Amino acid sequence: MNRYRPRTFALELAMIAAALFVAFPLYVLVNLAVRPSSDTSSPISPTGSPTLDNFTQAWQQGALGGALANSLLVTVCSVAIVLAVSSLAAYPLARVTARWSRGTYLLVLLGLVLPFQLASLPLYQTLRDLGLLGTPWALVLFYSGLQVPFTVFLYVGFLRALPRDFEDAALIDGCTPLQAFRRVVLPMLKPVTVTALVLNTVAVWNDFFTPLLYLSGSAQQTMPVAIAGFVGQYVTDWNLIFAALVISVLPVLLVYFLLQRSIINGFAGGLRG
Amino acid sequence: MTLAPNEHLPDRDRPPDPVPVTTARRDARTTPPWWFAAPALLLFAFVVLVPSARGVYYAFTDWDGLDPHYAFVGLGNFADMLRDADAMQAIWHTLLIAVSITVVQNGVGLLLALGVNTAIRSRNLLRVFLFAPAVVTPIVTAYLWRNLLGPDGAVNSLLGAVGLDSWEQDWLGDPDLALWAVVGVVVWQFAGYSMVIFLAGLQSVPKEVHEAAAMDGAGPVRRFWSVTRPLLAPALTINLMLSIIGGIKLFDQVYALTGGGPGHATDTLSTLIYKDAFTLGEFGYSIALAVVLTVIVAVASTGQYLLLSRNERAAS
Amino acid sequence: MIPAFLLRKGDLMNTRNLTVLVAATTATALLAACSGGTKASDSGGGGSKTLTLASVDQGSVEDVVKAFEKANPGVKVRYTTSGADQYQQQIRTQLSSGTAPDVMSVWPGNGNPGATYVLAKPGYLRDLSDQPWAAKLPDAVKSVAQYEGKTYNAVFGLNGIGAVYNQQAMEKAGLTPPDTWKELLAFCRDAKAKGTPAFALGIQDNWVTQLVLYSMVATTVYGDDRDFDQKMQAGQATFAKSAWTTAVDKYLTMEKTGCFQKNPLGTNYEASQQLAATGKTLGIVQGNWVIALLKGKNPKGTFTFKALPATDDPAATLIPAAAGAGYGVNAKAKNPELALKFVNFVMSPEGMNLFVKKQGSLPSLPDTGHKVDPSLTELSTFIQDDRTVPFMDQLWPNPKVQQTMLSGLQEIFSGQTTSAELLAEMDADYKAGS
Repeated sequence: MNRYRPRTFALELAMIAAALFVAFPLYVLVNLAVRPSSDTSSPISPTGSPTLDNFTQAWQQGALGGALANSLLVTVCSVAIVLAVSSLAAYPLARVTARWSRGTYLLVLLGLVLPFQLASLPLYQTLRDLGLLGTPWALVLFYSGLQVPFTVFLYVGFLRALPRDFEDAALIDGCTPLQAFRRVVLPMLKPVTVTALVLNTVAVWNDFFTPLLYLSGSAQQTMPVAIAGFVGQYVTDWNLIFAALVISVLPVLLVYFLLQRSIINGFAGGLRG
Repeated sequence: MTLAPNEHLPDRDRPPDPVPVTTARRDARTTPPWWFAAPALLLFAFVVLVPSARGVYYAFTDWDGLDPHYAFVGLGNFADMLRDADAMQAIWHTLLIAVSITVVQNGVGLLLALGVNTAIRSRNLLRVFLFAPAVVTPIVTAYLWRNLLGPDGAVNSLLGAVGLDSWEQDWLGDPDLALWAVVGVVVWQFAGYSMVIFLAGLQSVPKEVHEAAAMDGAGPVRRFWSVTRPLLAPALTINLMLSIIGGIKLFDQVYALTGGGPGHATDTLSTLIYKDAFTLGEFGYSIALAVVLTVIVAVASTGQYLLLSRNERAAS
Repeated sequence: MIPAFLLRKGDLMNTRNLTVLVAATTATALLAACSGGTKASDSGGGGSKTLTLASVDQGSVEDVVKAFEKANPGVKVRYTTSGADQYQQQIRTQLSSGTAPDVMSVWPGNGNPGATYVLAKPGYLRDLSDQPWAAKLPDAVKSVAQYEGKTYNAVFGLNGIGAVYNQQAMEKAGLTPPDTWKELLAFCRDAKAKGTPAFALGIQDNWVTQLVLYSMVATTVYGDDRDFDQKMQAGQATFAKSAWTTAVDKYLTMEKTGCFQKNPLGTNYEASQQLAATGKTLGIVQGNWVIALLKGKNPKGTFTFKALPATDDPAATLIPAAAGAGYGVNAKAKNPELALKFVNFVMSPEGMNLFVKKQGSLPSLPDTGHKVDPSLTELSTFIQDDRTVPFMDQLWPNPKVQQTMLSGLQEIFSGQTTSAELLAEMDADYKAGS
């Protein structure tokens, strides 16, 4: 399995071909984003005289700076909250075998199957009553609750596969349950925490329809909403749109490529349990 | 919904049996208190559970989403659904899309994982590149592909450039192709996601086991079947669950790629819910469709979970 | 349990880096949030000097808001713009939850979830009949700006549907715009023979499917019977047993004759503009608003609006022309005085001219001193001569009729249904009422 044979070389070529297939759309994306709209040659031929004008224009017209700050705020705050409350909740849900614990866990898992359309209008009215509409805090609250089921599911699965000897020892040594959680359980949960961090960040950052509704009527936008506004019916300059798409994707890809090793390893590590 | 009660987990994933000596003292002193779960439960109830329960009420009304006056119609909306050819077609499309995505995405993901988990030199780079589309906003990839799949778009240009003119298609405009184009875009984006999960499973197979099997004269296919496959079971469970729920609920991509068209050729339950609620002003009816969507997701995910956990137990 | 590769030193380092990075971003984001928060509350205040506005007029309302703020020092307009789809979802949710802005875009007539009848019926719009401009609206506009005799919609612009020709491409092909149905088909054949299809058609966006059909319907249905809508409302006429069948057939005849480029169903609105702007087709069947967009794509081009003939008598040709989306005032506006002031500004010569110039449409009121763009001369003449009929959907009883037509036309083009089935289905939806 470890020797490099001619067959391995053939496999290498095949895999690189697959990677090129995956990369092809991204090439077109960048290729069109640096192209002036007067250039109407085929989308796959490299752009002759690349320009960055589209980027500056998209940045200004789309008010993408504000959208970026909002997306960042919403993502960071809600992911932090979700990880904190879910890991804490997973501890009793994974360890206590009493009936209330089982039942509660199943109730939480129900959240995985409920489509967002059911809750969207009543929640809109609740957020209105709280005066949160049109502010990023509406989204922080929303995602903090929405992502609980999936995150608890990840944590409980992982925790159940861990031995409880260490926590037991800590508790018998006189730790309070909270201390045992912080000093013993939480460190053991690190791999699954990275997984949950990645999955929640991607889900919250990329969500499109919730911010559309809860931020509508305000000047606040998140990145996907700003992008969708760009592709609105009468805005038709694809080179500009593609530049905006690149801008929206860049922060995520940048973080991803910088931290790819820990993200991929950690991501999968947590799922393995 | 019974996703993961303890007894469905394979033996090695179950918490080890407690040491007998401490059993008596455990319940008294070492059980984590219930209130640890309170903050998460409160948030969950406030944001998901209570609003959903309140929302379900509209499924039994004829509310148009606007007029403060509306009537309670009992199961009328559900009866209407049976006569609504668009709704029936949308349910069929939803299932078709979910099943195809689940099969193709995981098939491709597994092949990629097997390919990357070899001695090839570019394996680390490939892993990074293949996973990259999964972190990109779906609505963004959909807008991108909408352009690429146009009659004069990059896909047809590429086919023309390599001499495959006859393969050029009106990908999103042909009702027989549009649905598969949507599936293709989703698979393109998430095959790397499945790959990474499978890869973690593959890497948990100790090298020695493989070598021992190879020494016993087992070929690669045989080694995969009897050594690797059983250990992939947990990864498979997670992968299938994620892709089946994601496939049934799929909305952003369909909305941005085809809007459900041409005609109703790619309408799914999610796009129909959206159209009925906000384009046609049939809010009550659209919530009834959402209830049906919930039931389908619940049945599908519970079913596949039960099935897989039985296999998982049998395999280990 | 914890996979071995996670315990390698390098990976742990990376995980730690990740934690540090996350912590750093959290801090930055929270800081940004605090400063951002204060800014947001500033713009939220302002009391009676602040007007809230939601609009679908992306690209033109911005200038009008600026001019309005300049004319009313100290007034601040907080506005949002969005595409029609998103806007309809937003405005309905906001109206039913009591969070709608003071002034909002409202479509004329009925048959659309954000239309005048739909919003006025449950009482969400303020009666604007007492405003100075209300009585001056031409009758054709009044019929769609009013609900039960009261005016609710400040309609500022008129639009028409027809053929928009690319002059340079026409000269290159040596062809002239057709005036009769026969000439139209010959024109299509000649254009195709020269390798440049006559019209770009981008019906991947389903709203585009109706434009050619409306042009055909205007002449074939309303040419003989200007009271067709009243007959439909009275149940004395149907789509299936009227000249609508002729109109659909003519649309399909155009397709078979090669009037449109290849793969119209995979071509979107944007791509169709690209074709017409760059002379890959000789023109496009669209609303007059497309001219500004074509010029944006090809600043050197000259584009002219012409009626699309549907019979062999040029004098019988009618153009579908109607009020575009206007503005309504929220019945529960927080700042009703300022809301009325804004709507009256939109209907003043200054505001109206600003809007129609930017949108490439025509003003809804006479004597605004608006100078008609030469490319729109024919449309303006047809409107003055009363040779126009409203967009058909504006008088339909519910949005479903139009949605059925739009997806049905896509299905006809892809061979999934027939025109007889489509018209029967539209009749069924029409009869279902509001």
